[in-house]
Amino acid sequence: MSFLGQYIPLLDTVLLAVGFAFSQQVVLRAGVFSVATAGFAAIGSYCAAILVTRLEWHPLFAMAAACLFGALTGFLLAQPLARLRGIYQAIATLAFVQIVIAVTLFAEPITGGGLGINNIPKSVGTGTLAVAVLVTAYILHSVKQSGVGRAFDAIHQDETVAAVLGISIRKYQTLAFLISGCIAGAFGGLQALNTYSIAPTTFSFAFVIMVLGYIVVGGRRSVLGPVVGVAVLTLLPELSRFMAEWRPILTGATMILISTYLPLGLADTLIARLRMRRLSHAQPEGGHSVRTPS
Amino acid sequence: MWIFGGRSAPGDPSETCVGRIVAWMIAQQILNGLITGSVYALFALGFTLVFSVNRVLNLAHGAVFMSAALLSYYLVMIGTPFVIAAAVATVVAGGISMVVEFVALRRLRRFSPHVMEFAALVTTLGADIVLVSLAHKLTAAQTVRFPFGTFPNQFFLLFGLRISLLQIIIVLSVACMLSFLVFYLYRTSAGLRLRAVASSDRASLLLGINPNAVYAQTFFISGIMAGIAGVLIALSFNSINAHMGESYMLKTFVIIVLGGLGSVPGCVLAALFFGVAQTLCVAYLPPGSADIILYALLFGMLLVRPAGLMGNAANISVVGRNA
Amino acid sequence: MPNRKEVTVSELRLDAVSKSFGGLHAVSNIDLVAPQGSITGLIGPNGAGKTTIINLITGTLRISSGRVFLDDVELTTAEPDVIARRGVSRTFQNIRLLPEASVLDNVIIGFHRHERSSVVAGLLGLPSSLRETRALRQRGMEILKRFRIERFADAAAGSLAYGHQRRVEMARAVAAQPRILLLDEPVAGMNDVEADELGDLYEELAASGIGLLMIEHNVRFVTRMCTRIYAMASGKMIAAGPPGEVLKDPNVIAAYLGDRYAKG
Repeated sequence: MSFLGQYIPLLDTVLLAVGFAFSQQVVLRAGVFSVATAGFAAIGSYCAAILVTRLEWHPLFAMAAACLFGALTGFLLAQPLARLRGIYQAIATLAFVQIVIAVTLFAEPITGGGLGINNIPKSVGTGTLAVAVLVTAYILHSVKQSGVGRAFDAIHQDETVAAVLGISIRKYQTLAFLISGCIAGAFGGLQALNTYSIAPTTFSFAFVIMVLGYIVVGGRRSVLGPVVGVAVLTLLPELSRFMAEWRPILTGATMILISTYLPLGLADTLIARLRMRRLSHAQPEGGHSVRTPS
Repeated sequence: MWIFGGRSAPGDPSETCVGRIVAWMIAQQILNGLITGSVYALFALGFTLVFSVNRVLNLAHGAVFMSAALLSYYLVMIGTPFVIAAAVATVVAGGISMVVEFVALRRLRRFSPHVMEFAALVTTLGADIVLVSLAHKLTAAQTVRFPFGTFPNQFFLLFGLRISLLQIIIVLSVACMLSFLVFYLYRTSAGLRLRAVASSDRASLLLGINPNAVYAQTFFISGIMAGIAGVLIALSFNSINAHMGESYMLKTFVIIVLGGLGSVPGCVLAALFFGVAQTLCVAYLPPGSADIILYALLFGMLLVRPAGLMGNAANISVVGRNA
Repeated sequence: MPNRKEVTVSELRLDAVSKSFGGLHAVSNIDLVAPQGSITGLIGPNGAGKTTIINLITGTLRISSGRVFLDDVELTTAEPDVIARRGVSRTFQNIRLLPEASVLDNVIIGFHRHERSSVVAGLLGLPSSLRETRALRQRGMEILKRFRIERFADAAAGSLAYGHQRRVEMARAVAAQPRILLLDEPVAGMNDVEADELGDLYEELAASGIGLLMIEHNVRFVTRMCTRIYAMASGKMIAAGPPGEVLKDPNVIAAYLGDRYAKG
């Protein structure tokens, strides 16, 4: 038991990371180049922490508020950003993250400034986190099966074609921002209630990079993508002392290599390969192969 | 207090005297802001140059900048004269920048522009992480400083305003780099090739121009500019650490959006404006609020006029009744 | 009102549409009518502004002056997705599929404007959403069969040969069940047999009440398909009428072959 016990904090970190990665994946999947997940997470986190410590709300209500706040922020942020082009979306959302961090530093009476908020009572354990990850995964899986997911895919692959087919880019990108905000707000809240203390540095540039890294490594389309990404980038370095020491460099190098040679990410590439293999097996000998149709 | 060293005429009523001192302090702040802004301009110009030719945001630009600063420090520490150290560090920064292009971007060009845009952000970010983490290990996460007296600490009075030798050198080198860039882009055949690749790499391939050579060239020039900015910043704040590039990258985003992505004159103007605005904010507003205001400015700009002050209105959103 | 359908003729109409880029007039003063249930042609040499017209109708370019109507609804300033939801579909001159998606998914996305299940149902994976997805897959397969590309249903669209990609694009446009279908050089690069095969399909579509407006260079094909054609040159409309007349028009011949052949 004690053997497992020492891995509980690591497991919690991994589950939270998967949650944030889901939030990042939703927007990227819809062709939105947002890095706002860090900002949403900070908002959810501070929201839950302030409500629990200062107003002594029940953690459940605080969590609901964190989700709601995250979703609302996502929705509002989408209004001006849903029609901007990729790079502009990236810069604007980065500015948003910086504003959130600057405000948490500045509004010291409420947020505790640079020291952050400490002594948050721990009310969220590994079980709750696991349930939250499963629920999120289920929702993302449903999205994938639905018209919403098809619209996301179309926008991601070719915005002009999507629009010509009647897909409102504004509507679906707003939806993506909203879902992303809700998920990040929720996991931000969970993090606050799981780790005793939060500070602005938790959600800084490094957070933005890590979350983006999970998706790049794992993949943008499948629900498995973020899980694989988190596994590769957080679990592998834990396996050996040597790798832990060089972890940031490994992260950077992995990001370059995977973007260059497996642009779909590990999980998505694997899924695509499996599908190709199934297809070629399904074709009878005399039938038409996929790549050279008659 | 040096501010009382000015030439307020004796016998003035004290009210106007206070007024003058305030006006003069503001003037001094504006001068300092312009000088800070010109370093931003140098940093942002390299970034803009790469964007206008390659259509990618090179997120490793800040790491190249930091590498130059750090390298010049190590060279000075082993006894190299400062000027030589600065020159070597700058050229090496150009080289690092070329390596970034080769490792992080060259293989991405086979993708469609749409895919490449995202992939390039990720790979240059990866390159940034690698360079910064290496520097982090090298400096053992410490902030390092040049030994006292590396650069003479001299001051001059200019129209009653105080300006240091270093600041004069900063302004001069920024002016030199800027004129070099304009000359290079518009008066040389290399510049012509560069502009050809910027407008269409396929067409320029037909004209017998090797785009890869041009890409490497732009990254070299961009790296040189980042390098000069890095050394100058390291000197003026005398504080070098692995993460010093990050805040400059963030400021550069504000600047290039203000000036219009890819616009050289817009970039310079925006950098100067930003330098002044930042200096005044830090001087006269409550601590910590300057960042909020500056990023809010960026955000607001993207909402109101995403093309920036001097940018082209096209290509901001992909679909819609654009042109 | 039993015979209202006969009274109102459904059509796409352009009234004096102009487009200029900077000072350059890409197209000026274009009047054009494409009625539902028939095939209208748009011909003209390269650079005449034909594709610009399609981009103006579908909303990917902003109209400088003039107006566009579908029936009595004005589309002049509408956004592309709104225009598509009103029932205007198009294909592209250089085929544009969703390359990573499967052929079937490419067709299913064409149904988008007819999807009814709510966003919430999609998020929660409610039966209504899953049922709709199943139904769409089935209808998608039917359309693929009609275009005889059902055997590629699960292949990535980007991996198909050119001719098949064109069919996938057509299938997608048909899935949208448009009222007006804009075709940008639908048989470019095809031989006569292939072209006629597609031509039968277009006639079928027109017979089912869809209005087709096609840009095409293949004179034989245009003559066979179209009831009425418009000819453009240098951004202006130079002739309109039945194919036989327009193709004999001296202005049209001059535009295609140069002035010295016009009087020949």
